[in-house]
Amino acid sequence: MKTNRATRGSFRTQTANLKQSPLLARRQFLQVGALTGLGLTLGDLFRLQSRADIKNYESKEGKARSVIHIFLPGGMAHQESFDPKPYAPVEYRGPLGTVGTKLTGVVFSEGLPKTAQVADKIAVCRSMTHGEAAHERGTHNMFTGYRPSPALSYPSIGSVISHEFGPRKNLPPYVCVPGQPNEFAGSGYLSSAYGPFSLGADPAAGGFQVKDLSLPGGLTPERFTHRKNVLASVDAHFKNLEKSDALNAMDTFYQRAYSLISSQEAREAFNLNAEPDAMKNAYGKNTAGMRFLMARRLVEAGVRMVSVTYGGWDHHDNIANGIRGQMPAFDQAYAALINDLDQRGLLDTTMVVVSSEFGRTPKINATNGRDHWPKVFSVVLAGGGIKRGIVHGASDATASEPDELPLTVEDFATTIYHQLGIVADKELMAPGDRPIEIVDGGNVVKELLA
Amino acid sequence: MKQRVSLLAILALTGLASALQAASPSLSIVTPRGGQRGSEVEAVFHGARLNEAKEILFYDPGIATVSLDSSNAAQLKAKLKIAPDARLGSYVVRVRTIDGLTEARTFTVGQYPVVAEKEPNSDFDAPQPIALNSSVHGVADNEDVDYYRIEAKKGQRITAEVEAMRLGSALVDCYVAILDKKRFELDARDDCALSLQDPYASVVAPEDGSYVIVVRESSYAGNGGSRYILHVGEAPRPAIAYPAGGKAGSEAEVKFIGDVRGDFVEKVKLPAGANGVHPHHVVQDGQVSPSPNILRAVPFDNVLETEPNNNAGEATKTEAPLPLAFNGIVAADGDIDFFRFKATKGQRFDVRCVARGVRSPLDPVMTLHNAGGGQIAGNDDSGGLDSFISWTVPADGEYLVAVRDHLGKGGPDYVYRVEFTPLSPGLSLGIPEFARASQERNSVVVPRGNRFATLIRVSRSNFGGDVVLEAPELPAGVTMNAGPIAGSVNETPVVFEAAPDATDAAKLTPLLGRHAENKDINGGFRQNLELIYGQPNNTVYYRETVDRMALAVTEEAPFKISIAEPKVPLVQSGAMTLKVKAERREGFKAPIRLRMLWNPPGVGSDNEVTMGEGQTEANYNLNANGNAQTRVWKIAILAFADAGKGLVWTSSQLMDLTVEKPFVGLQIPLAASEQGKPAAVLCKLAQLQPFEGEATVQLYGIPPKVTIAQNPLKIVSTNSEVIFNATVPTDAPVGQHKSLFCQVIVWKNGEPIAHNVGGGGVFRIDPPPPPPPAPKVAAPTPAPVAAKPAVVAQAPAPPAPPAPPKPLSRLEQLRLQARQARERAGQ
Repeated sequence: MKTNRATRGSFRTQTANLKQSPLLARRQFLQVGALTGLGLTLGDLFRLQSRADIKNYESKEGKARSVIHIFLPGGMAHQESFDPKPYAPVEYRGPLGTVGTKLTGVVFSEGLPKTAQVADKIAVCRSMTHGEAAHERGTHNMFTGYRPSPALSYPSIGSVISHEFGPRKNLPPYVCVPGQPNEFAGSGYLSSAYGPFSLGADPAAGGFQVKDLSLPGGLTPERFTHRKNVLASVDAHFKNLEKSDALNAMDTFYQRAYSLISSQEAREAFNLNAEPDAMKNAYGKNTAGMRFLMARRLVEAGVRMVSVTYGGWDHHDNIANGIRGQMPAFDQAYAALINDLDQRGLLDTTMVVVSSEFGRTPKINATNGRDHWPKVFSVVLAGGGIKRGIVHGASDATASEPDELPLTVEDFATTIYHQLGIVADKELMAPGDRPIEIVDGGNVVKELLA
Repeated sequence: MKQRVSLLAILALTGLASALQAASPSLSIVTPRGGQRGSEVEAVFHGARLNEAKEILFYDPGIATVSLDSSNAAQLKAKLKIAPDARLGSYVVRVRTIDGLTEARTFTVGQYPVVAEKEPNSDFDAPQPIALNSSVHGVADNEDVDYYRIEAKKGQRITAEVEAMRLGSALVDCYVAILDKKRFELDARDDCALSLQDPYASVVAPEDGSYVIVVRESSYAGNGGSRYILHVGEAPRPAIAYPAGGKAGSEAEVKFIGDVRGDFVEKVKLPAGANGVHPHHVVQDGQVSPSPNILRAVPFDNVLETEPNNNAGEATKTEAPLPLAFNGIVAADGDIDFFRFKATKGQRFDVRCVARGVRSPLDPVMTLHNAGGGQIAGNDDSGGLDSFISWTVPADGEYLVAVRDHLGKGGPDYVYRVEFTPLSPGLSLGIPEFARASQERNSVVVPRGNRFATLIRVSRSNFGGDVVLEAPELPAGVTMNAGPIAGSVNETPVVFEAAPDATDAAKLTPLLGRHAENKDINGGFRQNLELIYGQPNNTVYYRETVDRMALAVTEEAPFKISIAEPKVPLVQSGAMTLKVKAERREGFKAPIRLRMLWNPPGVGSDNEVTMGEGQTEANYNLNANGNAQTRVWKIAILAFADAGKGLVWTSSQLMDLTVEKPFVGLQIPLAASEQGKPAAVLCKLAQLQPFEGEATVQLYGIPPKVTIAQNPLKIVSTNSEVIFNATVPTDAPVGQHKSLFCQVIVWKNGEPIAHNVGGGGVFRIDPPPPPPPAPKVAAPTPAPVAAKPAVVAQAPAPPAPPAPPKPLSRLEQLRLQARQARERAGQ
């Protein structure tokens, strides 16, 4: 292989290039020539050098063994959730009141009475900030830790976890409930093998069953094994013809799917019916409740990252109605999740992240809503080595700008990775042999850590 | 088929949703979408709550209502009589019912007898036969192709023109083609410069026989609502006129370019006094073009280009003084046209190159040059795709204007006009859009004995200042109450009131605006009715424009509201609560929602307040920021409720709101204390305007667990500070608490004037210091006593207790500590 590459490079062209370069002295030129003689092109050399320089850190499981990421798409208003401003002028304050929490002097919006009772177990960050006011760009920020780039598709946090740690107990490392919420929740430049496993059905729906997890009706395990063998021979044939990441990834998917189907324990993780009715009622028998409960079952069984999507929070019009419609279910389910994890002793090893793509405008608009506002908004972290019962950072008096301890996307992602045991400065190899940091230039936010 | 069903379901759902939200009644579409002039049409007006329809209101003359059958709330049946001389094209229409006006929709008048499309006609070999000179009403359904067969003699002109987008009811991008019997395309079009997304095809029949006309959605993506009207006839169909306009009142000799029979010249009379677009239907051999070509009538003369004029040296030259309109055609690829003219220093012109504006395919780039040819200004797209330069002539002399295509293209129909319009003041009035992509409240509906408010927005060009509003032709019993539109803003609330004995009626009424001091600056009402929206971001694909405001008086509403007018001003950085009262008709209990129609600059308010079921009073909060403009403004509050037949809207009276400078300013220096020690919060007052009697100062945003025994405190007009004595318990949270501010309430005329001042005040709580390493050496020096009388928490009761030491500001504390440290060091 090496020899082939060496002969493929055209020596004449390289000489021409080198002659034009004032940086290369004759002596260096001779060295380059010598390398060529050994069967290495200049490209190979640089590639090897870059491989040698690539920043590598071993990922070891950290305090947080799993993550439940609750994503509230559309841009949840920070004012109507975790950062109300009861003293602001009425057009900033908005139509909703507040509720006192377990933390002295800290209030949440009136829609979060149950969450207020677990405020002593969570860390509310009121100073999250970035500059992307479009849904897809804000979402990209929050899922990947990077600003969107036209040149590269970045992997989501879940895919990086999947890449770094792989599966645990035969379960997919990264699961999306109910499905992959957006294109940025995928594997980016990493192989599609690190993409999320989607339930493909809503846990709150009657007769819920994870798609692809059980054998189709009438198919016996024997017939299934036979089919699998046929497929394997077909695949082998294609592999000889084609070399593609998608083929390898598909193979990985099949292998994982087989192991899922064949492992009773793994299948049981997805079986929401195994939960007692009292538990279901505690979470709420609705979309939020069943999704969050599913997330808890999955991390308990061994899934490393569960990304749960709930609701639509793009309240340009009539925000009071929008919040009143969706917040109670979230409030109940989230508080139940935190308490449930805590009672099971899982909260110390499971990080629960609540985020949205951005916040909403300080002033109420003409249609009684709020528009997109990425300058400051709130995210909530809990568990997995995060301090309990703190409010990190603050927005100013009208919730317009960060006032204290601004939390950037990079720092947010780096802190999550840090708790998982991944050094975010590590470089992963992107196409074109380009090493890319997991997060570019983030710092661990020490104030958040227990 | 499945897809079609789901699309229809979605359409039905969206239609239903808007009907439920909108004011009652509602109109979604009129079918058939048009009729032939000189005929009677059985039309159905589809919508909601149309069962008490009283009148069909067309904005233009030509269509009369013969009879109305309003027995079905969702389908109003009407017999319409279209006058033989009715204008061809689209007519804007609303329906008035006993309790309201519907949205504006359209109905189209054509010249040919109407035939309906008959499916199946989707096979080339089995087309639907139609007569030449007829209009087919069809639907370009999903993956549907409609074939129509006509018979024509050799040399006969066949023109097939589709109106789809121009019907104003749905986003339908049609394609049309004329095929011969061997299925060869003789002419075909999807989009074109003349009629945008609506296509036409036109041929001269090469031989006697049958021809097939094809109509479909251009990407086969139609649905059940993708209606079109196909006009097939012998009509002329020129693509464009040259020159595309002339002097208003003159008879212009216009060449019509692009007809299949060849170009032809027609004399066109341009209406006197016009200034703008003048649509013109050409007539040839008694046949009228199905849709007009666009001409412009302006108050000045034309200059026509003389080729060659491709450089400054060969420029078409005129001695006539500006203003002028230069006309030309960018006739071939790479062509550029120059005109040379004289101008006088200081003259100011809006220089507009109109090409797309007269439906030319040219995307113009316009440049201005000095006499030597050096460029002095240039523009590509400031007028949409057309070019626009605002130009002040720098010196007396000759100048050049040049026009070319953005991509260097050209052709015989690449017509343009460069109009040098002298700068003059322009004014127009309108109603802003109240809800996204909706016609909500774009008309005025006043219940008898009640009020309704709307916002009137003015657009001013080349002048500033207050604008006064007048409505000269209101129906009897209706009055308009409007303040002037202040020079610093472009909107004002306007309240219409109908007397209890006003008769139910509707009127398309003019609304006039004029400069408060200069009557010569005036203008009328102009309303864009956006009828078709599409991707991206609700781009408007089709709109109609009307010049009168629709106003109706309806039956009484079950409630009437009014605001108790405050006797005090709203001050900058202040707040006010308005009391809104409702009179409810007996038995009417539904919640009434209140919404401030408009806030003056710097004033904010509750967006919406609900007066609960059966209640007759509600508070509405207003506040002003520190820079709110001081002036007497007009405000009004809208009230709406579901009265069982959709929403009924009314309003309060038009009320004066005075915004003034504050009476008191206040600053809170850093207050600091240790846990377990008392603290004093000093507030420095700035007395800006004298006030009578006592005012109260209340401190808000106190850190958790900290208590203040006496809060609020009283002040008089001479106090310069107040001090709040706070108790800081040992478990008070340590840190900087940045939420302090004060509300100062000054009383006048028995009503409060609230000031929210001192925002951003900080209360710092420190942990107790570690025990000192060495025993204390000196007792702290007593703090200096306040020079001016300070209001303190203790009630002044005889015998007077010793004056408490004045609290020190953080800076003074630091200075004191430093002095004490120095003294200690000195000892």
